Amino acid sequence: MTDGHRSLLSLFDIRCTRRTFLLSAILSLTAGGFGSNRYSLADSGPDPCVEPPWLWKAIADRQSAARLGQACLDAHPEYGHCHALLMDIERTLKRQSVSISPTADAEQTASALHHLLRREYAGDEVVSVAGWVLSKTEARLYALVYLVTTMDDPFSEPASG
Amino acid sequence: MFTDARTLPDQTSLEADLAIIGGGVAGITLARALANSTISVCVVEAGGLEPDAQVQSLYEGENTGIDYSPSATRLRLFGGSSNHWGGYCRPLDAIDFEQRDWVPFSGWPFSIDELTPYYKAATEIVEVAPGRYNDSDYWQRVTGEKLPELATGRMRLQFVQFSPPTRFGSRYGDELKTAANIRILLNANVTRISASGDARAIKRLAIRTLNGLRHSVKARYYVLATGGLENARILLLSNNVVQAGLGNQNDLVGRFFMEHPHMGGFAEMVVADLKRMPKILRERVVAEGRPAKAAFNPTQAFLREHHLLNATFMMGVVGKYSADQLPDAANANDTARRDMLLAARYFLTDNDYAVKPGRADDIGVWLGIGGSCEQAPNPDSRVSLSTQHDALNLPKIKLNWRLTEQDRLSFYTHLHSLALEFGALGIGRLREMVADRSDWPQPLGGGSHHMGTTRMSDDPLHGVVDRNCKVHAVDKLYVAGSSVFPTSGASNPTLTLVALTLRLADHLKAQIR
Repeated sequence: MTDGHRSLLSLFDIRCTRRTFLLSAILSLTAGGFGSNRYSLADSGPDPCVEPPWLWKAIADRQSAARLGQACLDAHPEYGHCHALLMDIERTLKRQSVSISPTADAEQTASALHHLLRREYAGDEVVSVAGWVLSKTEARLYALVYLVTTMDDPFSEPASG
Repeated sequence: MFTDARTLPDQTSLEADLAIIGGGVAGITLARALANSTISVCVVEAGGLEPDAQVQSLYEGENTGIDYSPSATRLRLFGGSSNHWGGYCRPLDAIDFEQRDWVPFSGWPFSIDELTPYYKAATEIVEVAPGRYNDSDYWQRVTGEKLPELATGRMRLQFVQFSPPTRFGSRYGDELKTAANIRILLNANVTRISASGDARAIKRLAIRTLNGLRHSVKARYYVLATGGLENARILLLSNNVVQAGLGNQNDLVGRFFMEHPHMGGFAEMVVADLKRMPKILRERVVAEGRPAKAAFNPTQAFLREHHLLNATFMMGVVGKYSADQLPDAANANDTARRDMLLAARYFLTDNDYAVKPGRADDIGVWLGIGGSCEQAPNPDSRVSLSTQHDALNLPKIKLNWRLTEQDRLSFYTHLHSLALEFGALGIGRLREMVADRSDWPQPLGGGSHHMGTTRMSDDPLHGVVDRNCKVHAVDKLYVAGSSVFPTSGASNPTLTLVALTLRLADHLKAQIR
């Protein structure tokens, strides 16, 4: 686990459950040889997709979001790293002065994302995904859902949102 | 008084102070403005009181440019094309009148201020008064729905008001019929405006009927008001003195033909919660007896900053998505819309965003987007005479409507702005359906708006008519209608052409006295 990853876990107050710990460990050991998605197997090495708790607050329907996420990755392969995606989202939130305290709960973070997305649309910080004009962070979120969904199966927990 | 030219003795010669060629929106507006005055008026209308296929066929023509029907986009009968008018009313924007460095051949001889009082009167004539075209506060108040404050600085809300629509022939025909100073000559086709030897003065109008009669009308003043295609054709046909056609010494008649490119199917929007999208943004709303709908237009600041042409977008709900309805896996568009609505639901709905099945739109709706845009004046987009002839043995028109890359890029930029605006407002997500931006969305058509073919300029080298709509170098011959527009803006032209005609009426009243 990198420093950046630790920072994210702290930021989003991710609880390391037995299953996510197990998943991370397995992924670290197999260095990308496990899991069905084709985008997480990056040159940079293991990229465990630990789901942040706010994700299922902001994303209501993981199947729909995952399908969009797959399209995001087809159009933007650079979104293929969970770790990088989370870091990008964190950086963007900070850069936009969107306040998320380290102890922010899922609801607060999802709400902050909501405002961030609107700002990105207003500022033309968007990408095109299968014709959809999406804010960059929104596209990252869907890509993240795709990565998380395809990698954590069959260990995934029911959506909390 | 109505007179059917087919029933007059052959070679009848009529006289009036003013001859108006064309009994459409412009011709009727001008005649009404002079009704019951001391000025005798003869309106020479090519059609009758009812549609007639043989008469309408005289509008057929050859098309060499973008696919376009010269016949289906106008009507040859009393009342003219108001008989199929959709009733969309909105003035041009102030910027449309300006000389813009980035729009070649742009600039009217006057600003919007010159037309403002006439717009007010025109609004009465098309029966949408009082005009509330940009009064968000008013529409907010009368609809009881708060309108969104647009967030990107790129777009603004305007309001299109809908005429009943006013069918000028049936609405104002009786008024003209009873005016003692007005004669309306029906089924009278002007085949030539005969000029004097030096082409400075008009001698008479040569008229023919489909039953083989020839008449003439002689007047002190003449106004050509037959629409943006036919105005050019009649001047080009009037070539007995100047071979290039009357008023065409500088090869401008028929050039600069402009339409408002209309596209469909180029994009769609999904909206999860219609409470976030006030009704007037998605359908016609009637308030105090006035139907209106919001339109999205680029801000003038954005147009200036990015050197763009004007545009208008409107949208309406096409389909609904419900949790009770099984997704149509075979329909990729349906799947894409449902996915977007469900994935972005948190961002597009209020606090309690779980789908509660039961309503036809509990997941959301999708909206079609209609767009029309300004085209830059283009001398190669033109009306000329064909080698084909009509039933009166006159050359038909040859239309070569052309658009430029500047027009297309402007349109796509504004479409992108619309996507940003709806995202920034948290109302919806837009999907562009155009795979290749190097081409126009298909189908591409027009709005039956024929503009620019006798454009207005103070400089005879750049315009067929002057600021008073008088043909340069020809005395006492004027042109009314949207053919005089130097630029088109992105508003439907009827309201503006009525306003311009009222202004012309004031000018003529002063001249003829």
